[in-house]
Amino acid sequence: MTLEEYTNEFMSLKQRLYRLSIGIVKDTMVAEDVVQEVLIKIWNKGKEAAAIENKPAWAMKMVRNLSIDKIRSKHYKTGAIPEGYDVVNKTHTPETIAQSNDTVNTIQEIMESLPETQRMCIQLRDIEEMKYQEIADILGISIDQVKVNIYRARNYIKKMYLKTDNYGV
Amino acid sequence: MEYKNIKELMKKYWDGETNLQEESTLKTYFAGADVHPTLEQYKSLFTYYSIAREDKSLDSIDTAVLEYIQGKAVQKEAKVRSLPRLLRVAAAVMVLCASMFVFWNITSGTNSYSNSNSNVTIYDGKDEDPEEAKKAMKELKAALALVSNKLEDGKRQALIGISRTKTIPTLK
Repeated sequence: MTLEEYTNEFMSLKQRLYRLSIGIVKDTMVAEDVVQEVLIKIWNKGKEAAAIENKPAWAMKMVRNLSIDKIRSKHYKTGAIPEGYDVVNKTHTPETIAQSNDTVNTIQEIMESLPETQRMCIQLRDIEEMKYQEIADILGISIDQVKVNIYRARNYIKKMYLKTDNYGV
Repeated sequence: MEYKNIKELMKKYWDGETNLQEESTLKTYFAGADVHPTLEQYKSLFTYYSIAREDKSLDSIDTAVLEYIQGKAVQKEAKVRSLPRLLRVAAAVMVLCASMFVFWNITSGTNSYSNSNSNVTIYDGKDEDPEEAKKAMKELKAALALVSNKLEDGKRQALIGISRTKTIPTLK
């Protein structure tokens, strides 16, 4: 694999890889590390990487796996708990909701309160605009499961969003 | 896009039945200025998906990955360059030529002795005068010295070649 191929095929994915990782690890530094590690791994795979048919899905799967490894590692857990605790608190305090009149924040909080698989499905579909098959490959679930998760997630988001919107008005 | 169509698409969207193209149509519609009042409430939701896609500055990743690749490339290059393969081949060919030259001389010498009784007039060295033999020996020594010299020369060239070996920066 030449440097040019590598840059065009893999380096160009870094924004998507980063967004995927940050959704799991919830820490910008860790997400950057994950993307960097995966990109280096891919370069070291050389020919094998060049022969992969669906490169974005393959790279995203690697990022997802490594991100999950990171949050499962003991060291990371101890550091991450207070941060996650903070976020949950914020969502449930009416005061903070009223203060941050920012819709983007509200949607982000709703997204974060979704179960992991549903959130990943919505992110890969509605933000990254990927096909059902690709999402299924990345998450290691069936297409039907992807569709069910997207259906549930969209309806949850709709419900929660309209609720906060009404309160806001 | 007509309001009716969009409303239909929205229903499909909530049911999880839209394809990528239809979803993109919805995003474009909600990004526009003419959003129907009844759908206005969903505008920021769809805008959010577009905002979330915006790029972040991730230059540090670029730098780190490229530095890594560059480091690897330099290592690889240095490894290849430390073998002056052409010079080695040249030296081997020279040694081969020299040994063939010597071998040919010896065998042709023995031949001349074994054929000394035949009728064919060939050089057999029997009636050769000592002066002539000494002269021949001298010539042979000179020839061998020449070969030896050439070998030394090659070796020196090889050493110069090795000392000139540098890592070659290729990527940048």
